[in-house]
Amino acid sequence: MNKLPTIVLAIILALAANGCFSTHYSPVKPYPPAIQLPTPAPELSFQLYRHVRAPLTVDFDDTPTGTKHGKSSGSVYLDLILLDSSGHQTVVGGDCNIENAAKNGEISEVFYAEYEYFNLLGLFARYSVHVYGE
Amino acid sequence: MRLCGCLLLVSTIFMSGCVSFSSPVVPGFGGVSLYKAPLDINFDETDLGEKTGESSVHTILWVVSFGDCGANAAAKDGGIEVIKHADYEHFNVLGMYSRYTTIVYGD
Repeated sequence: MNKLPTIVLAIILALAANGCFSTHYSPVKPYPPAIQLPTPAPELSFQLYRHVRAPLTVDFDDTPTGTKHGKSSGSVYLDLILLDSSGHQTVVGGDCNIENAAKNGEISEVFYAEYEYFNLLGLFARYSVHVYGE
Repeated sequence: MRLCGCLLLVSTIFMSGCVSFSSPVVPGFGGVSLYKAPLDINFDETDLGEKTGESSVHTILWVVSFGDCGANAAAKDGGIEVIKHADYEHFNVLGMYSRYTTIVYGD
């Protein structure tokens, strides 16, 4: 019984550290990421809950905000398991790329893009690309 | 108790690197920091415009993050229709609370 809080803490830490592979590579990452291990090891990310939206485009020279919006998403479940042969997490449930996002929003000219990242205990992660244009 | 202490130590070691973020320009990082830096590093004939807008992401204790620091949210905040330039502001207190703010300029 005395060991129960320690066990619970260990489980929580293990779950959170399970998000070690629940990371993404983007130009702007507005939260503390991790320890960077020597390649090819992935970046460690210790997280319980993340739901952020941040710029993907960083060059805004006379960029209109656009009237149309499109989105495409990809999800990762239990990402310690879903690693491809090169060690990168695979994405299921769709391709989160600019082309799909523009198609979904019926956008013919993309002005800029953002990404949305949702991660819960490292067990489920979703990376979405949002595009704005005309 | 010892196991709990070891777990906390391991967590601290894991999170000792968890006091940074990614941006095109990171001028430095300290235990307590507040600074602004460029997000858009292309300054060729850049006109800042008349309006500014901001949007933020907040992180608590390294492991919980929420918010929208996208350019679209910042443009809406400032009533901007054409974005001309972007900076960001980073505020951090010992990594226990940090705030990343995107600042956009335009008309």
